[in-house]
Amino acid sequence: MAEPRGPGSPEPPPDRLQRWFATEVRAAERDIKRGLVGVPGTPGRRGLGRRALVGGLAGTTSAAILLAVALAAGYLGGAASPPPTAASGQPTATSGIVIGANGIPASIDGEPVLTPSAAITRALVSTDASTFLVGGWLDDSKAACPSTPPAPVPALLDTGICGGQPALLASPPVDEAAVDWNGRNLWIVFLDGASPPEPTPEDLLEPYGDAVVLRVHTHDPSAATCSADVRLQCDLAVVVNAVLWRASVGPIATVNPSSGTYGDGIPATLDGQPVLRPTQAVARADGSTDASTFLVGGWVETVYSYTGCAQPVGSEGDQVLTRTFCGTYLDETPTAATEGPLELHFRTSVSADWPGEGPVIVRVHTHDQLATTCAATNQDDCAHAVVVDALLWSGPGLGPDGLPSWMDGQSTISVPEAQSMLAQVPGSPAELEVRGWYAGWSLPCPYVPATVPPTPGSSLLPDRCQPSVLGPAPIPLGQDRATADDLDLTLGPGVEAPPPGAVVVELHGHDPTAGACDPSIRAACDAAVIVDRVVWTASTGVVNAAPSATPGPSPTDIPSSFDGRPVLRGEAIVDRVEQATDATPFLVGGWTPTTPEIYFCPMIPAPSPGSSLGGVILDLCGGLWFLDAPGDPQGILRGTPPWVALSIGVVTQPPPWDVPFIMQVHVALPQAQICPAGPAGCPRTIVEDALVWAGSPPAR
Amino acid sequence: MDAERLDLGTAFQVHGPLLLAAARAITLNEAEAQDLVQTTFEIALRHAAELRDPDSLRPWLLRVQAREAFRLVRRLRRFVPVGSGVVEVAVPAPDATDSLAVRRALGGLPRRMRAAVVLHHLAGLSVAETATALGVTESTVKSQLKTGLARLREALGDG
Repeated sequence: MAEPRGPGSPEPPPDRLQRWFATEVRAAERDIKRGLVGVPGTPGRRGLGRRALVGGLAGTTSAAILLAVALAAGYLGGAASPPPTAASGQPTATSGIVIGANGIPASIDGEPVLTPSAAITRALVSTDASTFLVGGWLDDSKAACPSTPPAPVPALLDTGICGGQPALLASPPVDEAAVDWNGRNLWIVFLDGASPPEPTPEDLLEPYGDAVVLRVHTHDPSAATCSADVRLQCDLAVVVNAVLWRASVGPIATVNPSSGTYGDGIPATLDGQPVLRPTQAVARADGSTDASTFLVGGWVETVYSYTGCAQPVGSEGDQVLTRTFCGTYLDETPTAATEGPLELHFRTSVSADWPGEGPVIVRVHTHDQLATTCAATNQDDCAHAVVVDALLWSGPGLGPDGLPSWMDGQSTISVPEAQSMLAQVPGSPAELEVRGWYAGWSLPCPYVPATVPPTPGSSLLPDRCQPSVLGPAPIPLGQDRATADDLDLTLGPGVEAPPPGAVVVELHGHDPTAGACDPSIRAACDAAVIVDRVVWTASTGVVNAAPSATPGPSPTDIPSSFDGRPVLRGEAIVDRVEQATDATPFLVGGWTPTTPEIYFCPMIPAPSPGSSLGGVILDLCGGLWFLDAPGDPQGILRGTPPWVALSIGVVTQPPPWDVPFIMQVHVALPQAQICPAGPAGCPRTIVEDALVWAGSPPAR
Repeated sequence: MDAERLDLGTAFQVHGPLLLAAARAITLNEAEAQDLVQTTFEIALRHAAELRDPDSLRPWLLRVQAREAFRLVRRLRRFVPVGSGVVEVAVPAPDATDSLAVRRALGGLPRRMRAAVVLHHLAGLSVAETATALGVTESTVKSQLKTGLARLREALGDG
């Protein structure tokens, strides 16, 4: 039974909530007794997930089982093979491992590691039992059989491809839907009674999702037991000798040369020092001979930290440096299903600002002094344990679309993923943090036919006069409503529209109040996607976070960049406006006029770039005028060109007069729906998103 | 602690109801709740040999479950059918109205805020343990608890 309200609680929960939960616990007790859910080995177990369990496998599988791999691709012709040589079945040390771009060794002790596809080709042209290496990811789920096995199936061809045996894939099985199950994967089989007995089955099978390098051979002696009609296939079946290497890794992220970061947003260098990925760091640590430090960047995993678990027997060194259940891991990706390849150790307790999850860069070392105090049997492990010196960086991380993949302590998902999830869970709330590109518009509502009458519950529905969308890519100019690729948003109570551009928002579908909507719109209410919170925007970073301004050289100078983003000036602004294809925001800088009384419109009627005065003018009438130089606008405009005068068509937060300023703006086509020339020829307007910086008036 | 001493079968009978009830309260989704409890015990089974303190098992299981509830892979995979998926209203008819009101009130909280309330106020984790489970700071948890309770009181008419 629950002990309501844990220690340190400021106030008790409502009585109704406590009573309800007590009832829920009793109901759960009944459900478990009748086997709704359970654990392996207990009577109530309903069924395992696809991942196998160490405990579940141990003792259930014979140690005298040979692991083998059979070809999933079609078999080619070839001559009968000579007798095989003895299989080299012992796992080797990890020395001499060269990690490839996909995170799996490209070679081990100089011997190349083939991909599953290349291994199949290699097997098909093989004529003897010489061994070779193949690397890939183990997965235990399959959607279809690649071929119809002969019946009865010889042991060597008992691939189990339609059963429960795992496959060796060329990429991490994170997205099962993307795996080509009929492709050139290697399918593992088990052969009873064969030898050598090593590695044990669980070495190969557990945990699924691991990357492995296998030593394999064809033309196994047992092929001789096959009947003549399948002898050739048996000869070409790929049999596992040993597991040479394994790790819980995804592909190592590649470095983006323009940003200097890995694809997931983790910097590739820090203060000129290279940042290793966890898999590389493991190899670095294994091969280390001293306590020199190095940097490693990855994704923190502390999911299974267990308070009070550590304190193993032995010295302090044993307690700190040997593997315990208190481990913190670094992983290659934020979505790995198992602990990362690199376990971190700490000489002191983890500081309060250590992130529970998310991307970090840490400075680490091996051969810690405590290693000398470890028990003799632990000396090697202790010496190569990776100990954290300092947390040097933590950040949001980036997804494949370049937007934050980690925010507010959890992973974000893309718009397509959100669409899929919302569509597949009818009737239940789904609260998601979704990354994408936001845009909103104020339409001339009388010209937009109302699609939904104002009936009870209609506040859940998207506002057709002020639609807003979240798309998987920047919203193009001229679009003013959701497409099939976008989420059509309803801004929840108190939620202010973010500026157009990249955002992360928390949203939900299947609102609990949808059932109270008028029956005529109930389905639409249930389908509504409601924004609960703007978590992050590209322009401001984490909403409500402390500003991180980059000051200019003096209060009256306009910084050339702000928070790492360039500040456009003068004609560059005009070019940017004219070339804009979407509402992606950007920063502009300039000076507001010396006085607010200046009124240019009657005097300068030219409505397009260029003017008789020799300068460049954009969007003349209305809005906030600004210039690219301080001083009296009248004097500047009558002075020697070039000069640029610009107007912010829609101003929400005007800067003071006679100061330098930086503003985030975006481009809009306010007349897109009535412009006969179409979006390309429509007048363009600069719209203010936010005033991000304002300096001081120049000294005169 | 080895697997025999831990005896996960017994542990499941003892702690399973709380875990399942907490999972239901956090996810408000029957299938996901069942999958979460299942996964939590699978994780425990894999690490049974490393558990040392039986008294800390319940909070640890709750923390594992909470963290799993927020992992992207789980959230994406939760829609993969994992079994017959019997969906059942846990509360019998006399309390159904009240249960619905509470579930609706909980559903009005953001997921992380709801998880904080469930873990701390209902499942009995300390503020520090709740913070660890959710991967946030203690001050964040305290803020979420304060706001969450206020919203629940308002929604439930419990002043």
